[in-house]
Amino acid sequence: MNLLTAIVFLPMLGAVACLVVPKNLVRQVAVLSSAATLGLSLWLFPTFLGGGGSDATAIFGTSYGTLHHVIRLPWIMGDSFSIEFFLGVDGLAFPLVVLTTLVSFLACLASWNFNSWKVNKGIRAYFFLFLLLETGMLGVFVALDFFLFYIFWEVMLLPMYFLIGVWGGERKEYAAIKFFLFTLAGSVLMLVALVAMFFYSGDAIAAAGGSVASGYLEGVMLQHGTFDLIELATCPTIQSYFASGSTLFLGMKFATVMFMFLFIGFAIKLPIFPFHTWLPDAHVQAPTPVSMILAGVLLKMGGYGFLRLCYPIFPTGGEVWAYVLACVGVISIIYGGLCALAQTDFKRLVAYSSVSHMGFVLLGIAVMTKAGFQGAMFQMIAHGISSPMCFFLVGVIYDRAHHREINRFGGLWLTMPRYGTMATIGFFASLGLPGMCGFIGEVWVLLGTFDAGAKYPWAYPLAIIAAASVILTAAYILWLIRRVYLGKEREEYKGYLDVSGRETFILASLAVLCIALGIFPTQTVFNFTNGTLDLMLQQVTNAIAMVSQSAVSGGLIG
Amino acid sequence: MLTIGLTHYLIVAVVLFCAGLYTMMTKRNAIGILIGVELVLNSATVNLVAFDRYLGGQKLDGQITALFVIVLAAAEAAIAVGICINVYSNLGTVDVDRASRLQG
Amino acid sequence: MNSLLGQTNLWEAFDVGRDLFLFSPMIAMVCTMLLIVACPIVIGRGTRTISVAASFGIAVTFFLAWRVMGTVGDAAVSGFSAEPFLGLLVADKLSVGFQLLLMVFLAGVSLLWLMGSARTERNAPEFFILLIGSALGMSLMVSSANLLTMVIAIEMASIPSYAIVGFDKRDRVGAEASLKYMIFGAVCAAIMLYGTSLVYGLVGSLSMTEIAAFTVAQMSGGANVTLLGVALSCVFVGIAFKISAVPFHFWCPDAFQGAKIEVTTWLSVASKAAGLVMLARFMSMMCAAVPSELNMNLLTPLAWVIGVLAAVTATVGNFAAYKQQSVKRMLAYSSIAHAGYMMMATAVFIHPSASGAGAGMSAMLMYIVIYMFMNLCAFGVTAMVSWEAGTDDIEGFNGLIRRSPLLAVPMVIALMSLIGMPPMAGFIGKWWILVALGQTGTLLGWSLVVVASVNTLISLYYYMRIVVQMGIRDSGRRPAFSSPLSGLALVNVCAVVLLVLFFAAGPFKERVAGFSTSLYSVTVTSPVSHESLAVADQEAGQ
Repeated sequence: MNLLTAIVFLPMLGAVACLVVPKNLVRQVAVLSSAATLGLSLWLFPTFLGGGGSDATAIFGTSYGTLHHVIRLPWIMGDSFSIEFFLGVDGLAFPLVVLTTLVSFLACLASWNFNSWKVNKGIRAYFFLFLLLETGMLGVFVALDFFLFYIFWEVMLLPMYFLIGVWGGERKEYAAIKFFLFTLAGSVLMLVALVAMFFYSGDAIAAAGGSVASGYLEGVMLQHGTFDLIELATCPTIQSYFASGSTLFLGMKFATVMFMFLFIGFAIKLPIFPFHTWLPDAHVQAPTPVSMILAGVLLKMGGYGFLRLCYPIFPTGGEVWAYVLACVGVISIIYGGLCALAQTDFKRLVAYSSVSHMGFVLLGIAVMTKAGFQGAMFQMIAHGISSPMCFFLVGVIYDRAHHREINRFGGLWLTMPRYGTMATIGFFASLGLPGMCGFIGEVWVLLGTFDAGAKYPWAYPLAIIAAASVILTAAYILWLIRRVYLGKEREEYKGYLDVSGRETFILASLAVLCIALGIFPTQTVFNFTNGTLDLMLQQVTNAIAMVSQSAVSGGLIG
Repeated sequence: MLTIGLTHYLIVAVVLFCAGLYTMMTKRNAIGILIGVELVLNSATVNLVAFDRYLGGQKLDGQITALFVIVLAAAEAAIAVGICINVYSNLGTVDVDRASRLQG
Repeated sequence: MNSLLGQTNLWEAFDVGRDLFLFSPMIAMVCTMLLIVACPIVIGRGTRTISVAASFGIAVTFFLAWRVMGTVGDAAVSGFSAEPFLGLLVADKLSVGFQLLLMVFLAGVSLLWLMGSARTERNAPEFFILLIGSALGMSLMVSSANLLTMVIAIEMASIPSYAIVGFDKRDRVGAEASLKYMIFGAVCAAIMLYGTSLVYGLVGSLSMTEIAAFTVAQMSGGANVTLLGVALSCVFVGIAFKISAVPFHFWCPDAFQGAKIEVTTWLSVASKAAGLVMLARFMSMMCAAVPSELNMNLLTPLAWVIGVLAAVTATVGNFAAYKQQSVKRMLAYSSIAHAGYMMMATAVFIHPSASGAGAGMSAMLMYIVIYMFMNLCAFGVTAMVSWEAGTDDIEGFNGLIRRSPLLAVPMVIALMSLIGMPPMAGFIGKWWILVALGQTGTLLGWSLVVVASVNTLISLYYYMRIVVQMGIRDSGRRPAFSSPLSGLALVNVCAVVLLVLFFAAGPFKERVAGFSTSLYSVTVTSPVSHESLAVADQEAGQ
């Protein structure tokens, strides 16, 4: 049994089990199956241990495309067609898989008090959809066949729609359909890219004589177009055909257009200004565990998509759009921060802070430097830990107070000391305090942007602006903490119970990770990710260099 | 002395066709529209027979097709009049503009 | 007997028994109709008697079609002609497969009718005669290889349909719907016939292969291009009416809304599918008539006309569905949109000798199969909900997930499939159409890929309105209800099929791809392109 297959489909088994077991056992089954999935995903660690030391080459290989736990089964085959069930992990997917199983487990635990929710009907359906969603998310991170990737990507949509739409707040219907429409708009573009990339890769191979050596597999010949995401990125024939200026799609340069199609699809998910407007609505309306999933995992899919599809496959597209994307990233950082500053709704504030944090991810990726890629990846993981924590913190107080007005809170630390402590850790991690996880990501991204100054002069001012915007983050978080947790104890919150054992467990595990990632970034994240990211960046830089060189020589001849 | 040739038949057919088309487009009475349809069908018949006579040689395809067209016209007229009667008994009119309950 | 007319027996050239066997499914349908006519005289006109007789006829037809399927293999066989495609009717996997599908669908629709309207209706014989009569017309449509049979088949399918739409004589809305349908149909048929007469004058024959050969010859610089264009456009009007392609779609929402829901189910899939298969057959003949792969650009104008119409049809259907309150009418517009998607596949012109020939055809066939199950499921649920609520308004779906989960879940699956979301079969259907379009590699193909994808997004909202009513909005006013067991079985089986067809997409495609093979083994015998075809064969051989 392939480990990844087990990880991906275990939640689905749990989902089916939720439909058949007695109603009072549904919660237990769901938590158990998500815990089992987490356990299975921890099984991946031995593969990647030692990634920072001398075994790095053994683990990450010498070029992009070294995979582990690979499973390849034919699914839909034809004469010139092969869609495979192709799963695998590398340093890019592995941390995100673990993050997904972890956040899902904690969110499942956070759903434990389902029966006391405002909408508490359909417990079976809730956990069924929840676990189905987990399967979808895990599938996205490990699928390496573009078609399969797309299927998993879409499979997530409907459960998420219902989770927001049925169990959400007052404006759930609006929020859910908005989420659905935005995401589907992105996937539609991705679908076009999916078809186009298959046929154009086929054209590339046909133009090269109909049989081309695979870019990363020994002794494999490609006879026709491929959906293999690694192949599309590594096969030199396909790469040069994609990047060539004479390869046109509807009259536009192929690489530039496809990059943009994919980019918009993922940017909606990330989300990046101006595609972010679904996010605050979805977050505010969604129940707490769903918000945790949404912030902790779903947003990461956008970043993962950039790193897996956009940049390795269309490096020239990244080169062309670098300035625009970096600017959009910085705008997102500042815009998200300003919006967060203006919010009076606790959850909305946290939602906008996500927009701001994800701006760093985009900035780091867009500048295409070592530190940028590493920082973006780290920022994703860090945000995947700190933002579910923040959302859970909001959920805890919402369960008690039944409102989220920041200005009506105050002095909560005195009433609920344990909660106050946890909240401080969570929000400081989100702020990016040194020693906490948020700090490393932001600093690495900023360093990466400065590094990029060598090739892109515009990177310096952007780095300075982005660095300055940290003040904005500090402002809205500190102001938030002052308004909610500090100050005089308020009469109406006096009788509130401090966080329960279950809540403490969720918060404490996230808090420990926030600190651990901040103090030991290398051991906790970089050792697992950098190997793959550096090789990918090398691949991207080489491809860009190759194309610009051929453009120069072509210019001389022409 | 003018010899009647293919062109003349075709002109007759076109005139019939145009008359039929005009009737179909201007009449608001269902029966009127159906009369327009019959005119167009007849123009097709004239065309078929004329083409067969002047171009078809021995094959008689056109003549046979013309027979089919006549049968089709009869079948269609039968069902059409039946539907018109049904509409009249329900709505009290066969004016297509008055049949306006289904819209959007 | 031989010397009766002083010439050799013409019949000797034909194996009459074989020819009759090839078309035995259609003969069986005629016999079923006669049987149903006889029943009231001999036994009685009770609904049960008639439905037994009809089911028997449907089963026999299915069985015969199954047997014929085994006989025809990958070849195309023409009735009463030694040459494939030169007879009036043709039997190949495509036509026989369509008949098989039609019988399955007919059984589903009959079941739906027996559960619904049959309870208050006493005219079962007439209903089944009309239903099977239109099925016969549709079978003829997919088997025609000649413009004359095409016209007759379209009329054969349409005339019972007009009557069946206004089947309830006391129903004012139904009467209005049938009037509109009939007038529109009659006008389109008349124009098609006029076009047919012009084509006959130009080509000198009504055989599809000869028309295709003549068209291709004219496209490469003939004198009569304009006139041929006018003639073929007139012919196309008749086909477009059946497909309900824009701008010949106006009858569709009215007829579908006014008709009984079982009839709507029937027409929404069967008549459109038959029209599409007919169009696709015609277009594949055109492709086969092109001398070689290098000359395919001769057909570019034709591809653009069909492609643009298809794109407009899909878009108009989707936008018009937005504001509908009646679910029936909304699904009617959605059926226009889906006809548009399928029509896109008929605009895929790939030369028979090129790789991927038949991609468009098999994509369209797969879509038809999937679409049949999607619509049977969606309309089945709508029928049961509207019987319960007494109206087909979208309000009737309110809180359905609580009131009848066994209806709501299949409905969600059917609607997601109609949108084209994985993991439902609707996505696979759309996927193969996109692949077929991409395969052409032309500007048109890629533009249609974009249009089809964007239409998915447009359609999302109105399908989701039903989902919202079922799952999210629940006024709590409507009580739970139970539907007939057979009805629940019908919709749930359809839903399961939709899931299975997604995961079994590979084998499914292989099966269906075989159905279009015969179309691409066409040999055109018209003198126009005899020599050029030989050249094409040589090239294909190399």
